[in-house]
Amino acid sequence: MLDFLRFWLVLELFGLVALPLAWRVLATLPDRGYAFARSLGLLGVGYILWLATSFGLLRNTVGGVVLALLAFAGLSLGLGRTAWQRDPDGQRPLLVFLRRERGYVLAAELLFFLALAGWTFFRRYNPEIAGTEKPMEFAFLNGILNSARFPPQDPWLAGYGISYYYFGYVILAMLVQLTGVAPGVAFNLGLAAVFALTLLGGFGLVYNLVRGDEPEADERMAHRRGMGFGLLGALFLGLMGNLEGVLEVLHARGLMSPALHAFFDVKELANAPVTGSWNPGSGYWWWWRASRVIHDYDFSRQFDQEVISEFPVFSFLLGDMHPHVLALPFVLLALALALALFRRPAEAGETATGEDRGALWNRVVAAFGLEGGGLLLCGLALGALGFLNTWDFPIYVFLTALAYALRRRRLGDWPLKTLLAETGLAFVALIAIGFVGFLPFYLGFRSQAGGIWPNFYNPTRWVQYVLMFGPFLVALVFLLAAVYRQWRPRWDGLGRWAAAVLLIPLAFLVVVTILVAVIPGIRGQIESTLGRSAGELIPQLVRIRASSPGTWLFVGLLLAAVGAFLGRVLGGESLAPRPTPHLLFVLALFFTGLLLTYGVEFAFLRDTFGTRMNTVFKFYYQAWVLMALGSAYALHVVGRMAGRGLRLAAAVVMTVFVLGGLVYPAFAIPAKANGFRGEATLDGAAFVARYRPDEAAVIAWLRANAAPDAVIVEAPGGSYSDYNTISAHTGRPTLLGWGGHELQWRGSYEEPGRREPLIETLYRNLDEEAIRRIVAEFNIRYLIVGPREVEKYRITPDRRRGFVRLWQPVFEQGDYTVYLWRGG
Amino acid sequence: MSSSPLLSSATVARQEHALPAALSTTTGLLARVTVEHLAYGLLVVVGLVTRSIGLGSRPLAPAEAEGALAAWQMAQGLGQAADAGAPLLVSLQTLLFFLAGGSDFLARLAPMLAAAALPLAVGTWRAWVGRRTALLAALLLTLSPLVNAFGRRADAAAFALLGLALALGGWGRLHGGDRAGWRRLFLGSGLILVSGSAGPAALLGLFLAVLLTHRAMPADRPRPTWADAVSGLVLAFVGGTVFLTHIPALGLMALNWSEWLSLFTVAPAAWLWGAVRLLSDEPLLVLMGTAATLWLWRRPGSAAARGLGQAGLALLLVAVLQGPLAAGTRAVAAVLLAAPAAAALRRFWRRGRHLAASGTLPAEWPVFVGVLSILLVVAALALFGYAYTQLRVQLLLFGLTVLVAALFVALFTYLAGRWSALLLGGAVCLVFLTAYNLAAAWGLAFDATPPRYAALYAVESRPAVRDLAVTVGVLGQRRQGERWSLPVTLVSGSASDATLQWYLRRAPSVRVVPAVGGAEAGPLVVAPAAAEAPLSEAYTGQRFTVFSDWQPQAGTPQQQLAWMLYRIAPWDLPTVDVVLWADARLVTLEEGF
Repeated sequence: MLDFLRFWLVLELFGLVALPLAWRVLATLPDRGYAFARSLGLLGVGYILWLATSFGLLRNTVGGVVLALLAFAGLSLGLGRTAWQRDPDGQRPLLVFLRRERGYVLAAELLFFLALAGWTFFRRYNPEIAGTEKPMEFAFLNGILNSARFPPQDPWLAGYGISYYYFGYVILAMLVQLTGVAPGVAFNLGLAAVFALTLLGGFGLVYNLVRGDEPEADERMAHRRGMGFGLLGALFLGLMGNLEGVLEVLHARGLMSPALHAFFDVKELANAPVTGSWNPGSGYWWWWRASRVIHDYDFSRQFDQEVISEFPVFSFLLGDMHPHVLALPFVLLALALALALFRRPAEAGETATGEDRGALWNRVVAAFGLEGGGLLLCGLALGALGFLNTWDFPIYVFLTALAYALRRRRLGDWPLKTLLAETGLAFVALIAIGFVGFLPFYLGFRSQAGGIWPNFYNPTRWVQYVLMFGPFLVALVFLLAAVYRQWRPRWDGLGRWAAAVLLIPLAFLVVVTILVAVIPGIRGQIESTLGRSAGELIPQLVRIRASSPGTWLFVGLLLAAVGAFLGRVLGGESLAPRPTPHLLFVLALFFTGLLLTYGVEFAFLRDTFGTRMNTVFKFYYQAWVLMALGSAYALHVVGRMAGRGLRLAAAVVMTVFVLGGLVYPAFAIPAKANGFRGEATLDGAAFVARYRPDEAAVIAWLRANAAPDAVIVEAPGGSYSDYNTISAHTGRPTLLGWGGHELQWRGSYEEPGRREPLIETLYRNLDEEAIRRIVAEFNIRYLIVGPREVEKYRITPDRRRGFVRLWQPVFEQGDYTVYLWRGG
Repeated sequence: MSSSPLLSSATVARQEHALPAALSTTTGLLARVTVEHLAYGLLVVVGLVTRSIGLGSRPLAPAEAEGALAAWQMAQGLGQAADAGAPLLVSLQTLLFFLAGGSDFLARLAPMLAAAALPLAVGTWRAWVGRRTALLAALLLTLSPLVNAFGRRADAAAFALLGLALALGGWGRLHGGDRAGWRRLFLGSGLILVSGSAGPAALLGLFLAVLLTHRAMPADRPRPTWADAVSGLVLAFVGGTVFLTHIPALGLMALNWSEWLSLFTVAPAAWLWGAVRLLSDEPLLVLMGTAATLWLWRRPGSAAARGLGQAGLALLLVAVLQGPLAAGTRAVAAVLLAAPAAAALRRFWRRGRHLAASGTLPAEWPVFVGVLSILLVVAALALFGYAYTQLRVQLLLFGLTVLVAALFVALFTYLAGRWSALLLGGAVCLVFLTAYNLAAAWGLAFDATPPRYAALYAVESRPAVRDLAVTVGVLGQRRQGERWSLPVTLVSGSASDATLQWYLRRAPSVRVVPAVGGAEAGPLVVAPAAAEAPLSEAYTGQRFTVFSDWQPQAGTPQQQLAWMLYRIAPWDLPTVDVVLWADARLVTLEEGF
């Protein structure tokens, strides 16, 4: 309870400190950025701490965090002084706002508190930091906590810094230091905090969209509608699942025929046990399948290829502290910044004419406001996404640039060429600021990305796409119906867009296929990868593509419909009546979301896995975020614009789909929490003490006695195993941890591969000279000998006794011994 | 000045701030020197003299040695090998070591100068709190045990105190409408930022003082500029980065702040000892300052002294919550309480003069002072005796004497009046308090004789640590003809490896290892006496008692009482020994080594 309260209070503190800055930077939003203040505070303080520590100006300690917090507070109070300085009437504008909008403020605070408390309650029943990649994330957290300087040490490759987007873990470590909560508890509280911030951000964004649309005369109604649709936005974003939950329930009840199974083709669903009740049960991970609704196969169509189709509530259920989860609150902050930019009225510097670069640049800078400060802050907030979850960076820069273009079009009748030039300049500026602002990270980062590859033979089946995004697609369809009912479609423009959207990707595939056929080097590579000759490949590829055109057509046409409308606006067409500005913004959200999901139908970013698994994962996740928020607003628009019949149809259909989406969390949450039975604890590390008490004792001893940077040696293990628990829980760097993950992070197994035999030499304990060399090279301090080491290296009792010649036993419990290098 | 008792405070204030008439027309540097200047100068000289005598006599405590070692290594061009010390102190030590070599004296020189300059910084409060009050406050701080203690240690707290005084002086100038006050405020704040683990306390104190006195600021007060703020940051940056030669040294700020924050505790026993340390380390300023602040609380005028006193009380509370180790916070509180204590002393003095000027001295006054003094002396002797002997009868005598004294004071109050009793009783208590204050100053700052020591740090070094270094030098001299010619292997794990490395710094190499064994140990090995040292029989060892590790709160009640009264640590002081192992051939001067 105390830990929860401390966490909550510290999060409130961050919000309070950032409020003046949010007031200034998000000034054009109806809620003045209130819903995003916490995220802004966490980001700002985290950035100052990380940057200053990277340059040696601070250390990553509680003192450093406090100093960073004070520095950010100074910045916030300085830049946001219009919020707290008395105005000509003697009032403090921020206080006036809080009094006036107390209903909204209370609702936001209540939502945040309830979400935080609720998810904390949930985590108490499944707190273990075990399984999937939680040990890795815990290792990062502890590694950062043990690193006074940055880049933080990689606990699973001693001597190296973390080669991963670790900013989210820096922010979590910051909270650990300020609250004094144990890392094992903070892991779970951190998840709850991300959940609460996500819901609050979704609520705030949709509230601002809806409230900003309403006429000012009707403030009370505007407030109510904003709150209502805001809650819907939070629901769609953070609580609703995809429609696979419905299939699970039907299958559990025994209502899914083989034909239906074949139709949906959800991986492993057909083989799942039939419980006979509506509840799929809690005995096994049935809820996992919802993240695998997209089912790819290899070229022969005989073997599965893993594709991840996660969505936020799944991530929260799973409880992995992954970068894409940690980034969610800051993605919403980036969206809020984009909306605030979109809503800015014309600035003085924007009216200057001129087509030269100087004039363009001046207008771009003026558009962001704060005399250049706005562009810098926006760039840094977007750049932080690159450090949080690299894939998000270009996506939200694109969206911000699109918002910029739509705003400029809204404010003036600029030639299209000028508009595009300015937008391009804004895009480049944001990318440059985001990159330079986080240069220390990029200098040490090694990506596993290996180029863009064509997606030859895995088009997504439309039924699986609908399973994934059904409710949002329905909302979009109704929105487009309302839009085109209001502004009749220009069929020529629509046709051009449809042709472009549908045919250009096909043309890309055709060109690549021709290159495969014609260029020997490429052909050889493809043939060796797929194991077939070009002559066999090409017809098969065409057959596969032709057999599954649904997603291509459906999503392509939707994309064309949205794009065509946006194109009309950007092209300068004067629509009557004028569309509400937020409609354009939301259409931009849908456009980006659809583009992300459409793009992976034809290409993907190659990595160590060699498939489109991660590309689908990252892009679908962001598409979910964008379309969920857009859908909540879409319902508001349909409710205002559409005729009665359309409104009724939308209400009925959306209700059905939303209820379908809520089936998943309704059954999955209790399942994951074991029905809320059993002992409840927030400490994710408690299971080690319960099931492996000797290992827990070693962990406790090392935490109390070993220096934070003391190098330890334990047997390296495979990914997702319980090897390297000691280094993960203590944060002390080991010679090698999960080698497979090091390969993913660094793109090469050279160094991990070099260390494996060295570790074996240490445990074989035969070659004293070699042992001394290895110890000296890595500055090893402790050697752990436990059951895993004994098993892996077949350490006999005699050999174990021989360790004392070079190592001094300093701690023993059960089957574990910790040895200290004698030195010399 | 008139001795009339009916002087209004406004008249007093005007006379406070008025310059002597002669100055308004006189030119020339010497002619501008006033009695006030001389008084400040005298305080500075007293501070310099008293604190520089035997500045290097006490060996560096581990807390001092860590920073000095880091500075020494930087001065030798070895970079920042360890994260230790405070940024500004390390910068100044590096400069001094670079110019003049390393020594205990030089390690403590910069803080000594900063503490000596404190009266001058307090002098800048004149326009704000009054000339005489400021001078009196400077005098009280010159007598302060904690200021003296930090002025004789390699500890950056002295800079924090100086920075606080400067910043408050700047704030005071702003009250007078002088824009330059902002520059001083930010410069003082910049100094505080890089002044070690007392910095957060000083910053907190400054913030509270500003908050509590800002209402008295004129409505048309000047606004700060970005240049003012940047000046403070520049000072912090330059001063904290070894004058821009070592940027990561600034990161020590974060460690210092962590240290300060980690002092907070939720143990009531620690709070109790925090309160005891307040009274035993800084009796005069804490008691007088607290009483003065409470007295000034609802009185008109003296807003500055009142505000500073209130900030000081808040810092006292913080110091209590941090427990007995929060010496830096206590020192900051002392600086804040100096002004109200001085203001109260001045009023006390004026009231006394007013009473005395009314005519002949009442006969009962000397009797009261004499009897009360005798009673208090008897009580003190009884308590002192109890601390030594533990005889109950002495404790009874103490209690009885205190009771009699209280009854006597009550009787006198009834017969002679409240103000007479208060004045005379206060004067007697002030004398005793001043005596105890001077004794505390001696114990904390000047007395270097173990086992008498006042435990400013948790671990103190004993003189034998120097003997160890001398022995290493002698062995080198005998063997190689040169004092520092033998490499040393230091086995880590004693109370302070940094102290040992500091005193062995002139060895050609000092290798720090977690454990030692085998043939590669080297000719000289320093290892904790408690640790395994599996050296061959070819080594011979000598034990040195190098550290004392005792805090008063860890003692028995008798030890605690003896410490409070006499500043005596127990005779069986917990100590940490190390053994200097030498290859026997070094000692016997055998060939072939």
